[in-house]
Amino acid sequence: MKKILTVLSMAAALLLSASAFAQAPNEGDPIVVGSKQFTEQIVLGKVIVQLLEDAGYEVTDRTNLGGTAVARDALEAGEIDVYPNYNGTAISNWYRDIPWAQEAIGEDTSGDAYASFATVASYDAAIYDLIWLRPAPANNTYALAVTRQWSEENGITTLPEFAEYVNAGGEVVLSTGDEFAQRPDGLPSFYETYGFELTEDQLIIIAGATPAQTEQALASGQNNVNVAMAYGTDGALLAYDFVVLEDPLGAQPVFQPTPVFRGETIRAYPEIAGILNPVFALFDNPTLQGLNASVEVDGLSADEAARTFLVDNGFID
Amino acid sequence: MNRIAMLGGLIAGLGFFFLPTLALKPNRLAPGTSFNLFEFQGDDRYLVLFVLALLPILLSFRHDVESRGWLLVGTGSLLFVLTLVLPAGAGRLLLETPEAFLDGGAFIRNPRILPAGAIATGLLGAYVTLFAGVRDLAKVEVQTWLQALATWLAPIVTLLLLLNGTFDVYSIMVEFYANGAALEQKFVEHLMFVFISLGVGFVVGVGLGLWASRDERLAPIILYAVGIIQTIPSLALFGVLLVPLARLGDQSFLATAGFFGIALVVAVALAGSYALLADREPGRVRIVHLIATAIGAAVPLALFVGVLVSFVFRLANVGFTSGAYGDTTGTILVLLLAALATWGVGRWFVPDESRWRRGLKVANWSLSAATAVAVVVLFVQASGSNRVLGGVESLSALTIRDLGVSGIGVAPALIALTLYSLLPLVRNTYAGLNNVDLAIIDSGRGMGMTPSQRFFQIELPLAFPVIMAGVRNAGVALVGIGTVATVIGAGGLGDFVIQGIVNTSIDQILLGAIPAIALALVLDAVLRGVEGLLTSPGIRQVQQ
Amino acid sequence: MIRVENLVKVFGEEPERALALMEQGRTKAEIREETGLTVGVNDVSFHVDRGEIFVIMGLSGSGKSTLLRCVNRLIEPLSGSVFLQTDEGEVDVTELDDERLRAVRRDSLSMVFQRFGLLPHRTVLDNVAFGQEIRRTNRRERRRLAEEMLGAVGLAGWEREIPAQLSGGMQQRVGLARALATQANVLLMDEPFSALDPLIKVNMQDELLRIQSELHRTILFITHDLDEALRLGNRIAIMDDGQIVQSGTPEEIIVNPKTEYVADFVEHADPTGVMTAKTVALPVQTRRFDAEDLGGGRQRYVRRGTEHLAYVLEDERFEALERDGQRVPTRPLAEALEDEAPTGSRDDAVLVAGPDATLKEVLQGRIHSHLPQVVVDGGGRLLGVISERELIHGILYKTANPDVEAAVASQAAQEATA
Repeated sequence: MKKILTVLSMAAALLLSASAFAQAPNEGDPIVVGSKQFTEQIVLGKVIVQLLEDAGYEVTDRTNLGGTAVARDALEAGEIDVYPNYNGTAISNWYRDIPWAQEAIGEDTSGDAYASFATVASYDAAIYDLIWLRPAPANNTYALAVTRQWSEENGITTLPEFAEYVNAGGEVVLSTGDEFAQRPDGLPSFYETYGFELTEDQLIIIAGATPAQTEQALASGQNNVNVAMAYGTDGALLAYDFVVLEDPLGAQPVFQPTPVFRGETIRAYPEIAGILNPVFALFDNPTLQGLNASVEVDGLSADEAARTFLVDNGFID
Repeated sequence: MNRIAMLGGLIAGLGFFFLPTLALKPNRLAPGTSFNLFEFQGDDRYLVLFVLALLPILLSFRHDVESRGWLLVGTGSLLFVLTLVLPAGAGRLLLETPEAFLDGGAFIRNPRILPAGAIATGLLGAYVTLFAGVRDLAKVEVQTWLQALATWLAPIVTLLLLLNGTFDVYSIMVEFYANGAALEQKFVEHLMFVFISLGVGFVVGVGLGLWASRDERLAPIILYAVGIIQTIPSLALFGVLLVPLARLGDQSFLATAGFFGIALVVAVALAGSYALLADREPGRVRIVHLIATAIGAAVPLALFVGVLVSFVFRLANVGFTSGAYGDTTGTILVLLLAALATWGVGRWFVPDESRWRRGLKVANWSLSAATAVAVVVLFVQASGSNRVLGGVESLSALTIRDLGVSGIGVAPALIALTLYSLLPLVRNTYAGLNNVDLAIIDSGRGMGMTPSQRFFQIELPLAFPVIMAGVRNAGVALVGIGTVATVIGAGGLGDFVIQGIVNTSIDQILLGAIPAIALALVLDAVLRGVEGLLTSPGIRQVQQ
Repeated sequence: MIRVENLVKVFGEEPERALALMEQGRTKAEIREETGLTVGVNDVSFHVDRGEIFVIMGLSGSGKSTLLRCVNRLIEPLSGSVFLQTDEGEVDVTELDDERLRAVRRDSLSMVFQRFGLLPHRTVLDNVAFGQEIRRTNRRERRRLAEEMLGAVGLAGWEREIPAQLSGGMQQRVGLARALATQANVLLMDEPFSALDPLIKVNMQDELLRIQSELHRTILFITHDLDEALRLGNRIAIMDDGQIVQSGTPEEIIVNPKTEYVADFVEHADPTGVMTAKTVALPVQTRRFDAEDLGGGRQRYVRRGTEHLAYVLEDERFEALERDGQRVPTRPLAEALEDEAPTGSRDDAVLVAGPDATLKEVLQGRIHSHLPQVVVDGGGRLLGVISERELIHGILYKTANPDVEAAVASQAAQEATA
């Protein structure tokens, strides 16, 4: 009897899943998931793809699409339906240089997670009909990283301590990309908030450099580099065993990963928000660092990394 | 004395002496610790490599050319294989107790063995030595097949060892096992970028080259235009293409077809009026008329070709990369090989008079036809798949995007790659056609050939080697440029390269770069072969 | 076979502008000065008879190649007509549409080029068969024809080679075979031997003459080499500045150059192959001979200075040469030339030459007999005698013996007084 029931229930489950599969809610109009072209973006993109597929949607995987401009243009043009974006990115790329937006955003929203999110989300919705879901708690912002050895030798783990060290004439060579070095809300914002300043001799500026490159400069110690520009959720921080200097005053804009949808899509399938929000809520800095590291450091594919995470946390089987 | 062999020995020897052989990386990203050949502690057998590397220097002083050749070939081959095999063994030992060799603070997670500089110089030195040996053998006219064997033995043994898993310890192989599944698909995508854009570029480029060679006044304009295209950075080109292509993708198929029809009528009208009036128009008006006609014809044509190519790409992508049609793709491959074989045998091994020739010809034709049919079958099968048309149910709901044209993805990539392929194709076609001996063309005219007979029987065969050189240039260049397609979300091997650059993972860069290099080399060799097969010995002789 | 009338070709934009100037008789240089146009061919007319080799000779820039290319319209003439005898009757080539022009080129006019114009990617056989291939002759037939023509030019056995493996002379033989294999009646030859070494060139000229004696095509031949023109041409036209300045038989040109231009040309030419016996022979009815009537219509002439020789005529026909009263046996010149070496003594026969025997043949005859040669026409009438003196005069001055003209003049004077 028990056996029969098991078989029957299995058959029913099969039928159900089959019929669910056959009747995807968006039959013939796949949801196109994009992402930018670095590890965290691809992993988050894969997370969205797998969650939606698991929920029975037809999905087209367009992760690993291109740079910021390509992904955003594709979203606005309707080429993709969703990609993970950061509020900080949106502010600095689309709203920072527009006077009225600046006026509205005000002076101090960049470092304020809620204010910056509210600004970006409301303007994007109003102007571009792009809907921001709930942001993840992680903050993939710019940070300064040092080696653990250096941190322990000098007893420095926070930016105020670092500022003190610099002002006391400590030896510093910072490897950074040009954008971070020059943007007012980048390195200059650190200077202003914590009261220190680096001379030109203390900077090694690599044009267009990503944290991966500045971190490698730090890891190899070339040109006496002992501080590097980094992202808060870099997987490589683990690989190199670096320490991120804490930013207690929030000098940097907040970069919280958030799925951004075309309004048309999310209005057609509002339940998607319910699927993605609980998962993104789990993405704090250590979690994302771990995910990124499993790709960058361990060499897993982004697909595997996302699947492992979702299975481990019980979101998919 | 064999100076080349001496050079080979020096490269390999100095490399092993001064450069690190391996690096032990605590994880995928961290740089790790380097090891010289002499630092593999307590194990002297690795010094064999150093001795072997210096041997060619001694051998190069031998006077007897034949024995010297064989000894160099032997040394070079052995050095080639052992340069890869012995460090692999050392690497396995290092991986057994990585903590022992790394700093205390290192973050050890899936440590890897990176082959370092000395392996590269070792392989280079070995190859140079091998080359020097084969040259000696060629000098004393050793049989060709023995020379070929000598040349290819080491690479073949290396390939077998690779398949056997001997080199799995190296980080690039680790990366391959981690991302290998995607590699095949990316490789096929890349291959299709190159072939499709080269194919379209070939038609357009040869056409433009032909046009340029026929009209002296337009030639500089055409050459200048394709030259300008070459200077546009690919990123800018993608940016320019994104919005209009996205808009085009939004259009319904029926409306576009209608537009295409109207544009076609306009083009035909322009062309017709040009044909009727051009003789009576003054020079300047005629040029304007001609250009208007060309643009009027080019716009709908480009639209049509663009949509068609994107659709074919999508079909081909689904057909060739999804396992569902494996039987058909297998059949196509077998038929294609058989057709090539019958053609080659018929052309090169069977004398003109033989009665087998006709039979082979029939076999070749039927096999070619069967291949074409199989390709059509594959496309029909694939077009039935949801993945091609996205399951659109009615024709009126069909948009151009459903046919594969969109602002991101393969459409802009194919357009950009096609545009980039034009310069070498146009330039070489123009040069090739312009350099055909006028006496030969005149003799064709004098014999009463029609313009098309003249083109196909005289100009094309004579310009063929030059045009093919352009095809080769374009093909090899496209393999490289194709890696940029990743930034517009088109995929291909560039996915690995760009991601590797973004996270400074050398292994990942190599995973994309090595197949791309191999593809470029193989493509060059294959196109060279095709060129050789299709070029008459008479023309080859003239070129020499 | 070919009749070219008032052919004009002017190069440049709007070439019609040159026509009026040409009618005013302005020179090529003047027209270029005034309009920037280049006159290629200036109002040229000529005709070529069936089976004839007609040579157009001129220096480079004289317009001869342009003229030839206007005949089959590889260059489009500005005005004028080219009448060509084809199997379908006479056509004006300049009036044909593209389709019919191609047909004429395929079937009636074939061409041989200076730079050979062979297809390097085809075998020798395929090159020769090419013309027939364009005519869509079946494979077997065109192969047969090609093999036959290769045999005719002495290249049997070279069928499977490619042109690049052949020497220049052999390549041009292939070019010739290709032109012949089209079976066209008219061959246009554009300096076909100019690119060849001198020895091979002479060789090829002989070959062409031999082939022509068998196949009897009509040939329009272009050259800048006067000796070649004199050797090959039945008739020659000399071009300068786009115009034909003189045309006629080789001998006429040599003997009687009409302009200084032609005279300059022929000055250094070798006349022995061109001048004929009848031109240089000294008629006996001149004042250098003493005549004696033997009665019965027979006369005996004795040349002053060589009184031991007497020429006996009957009804103006040559009967015999008497030496010291003894008759010397006669022998045709042509027969004597067939001997490899002189047989017997050089004074045991008098050689009788035909009117068209060349000076060269007469010279060769002197190896066999040092007696003066007598020249008779087809009916046996004595046209004159050629002694050493006439030979030297002909070679040196390339003109007829002045005594002939003097004789004609004195005869006319006698008749006038009588």
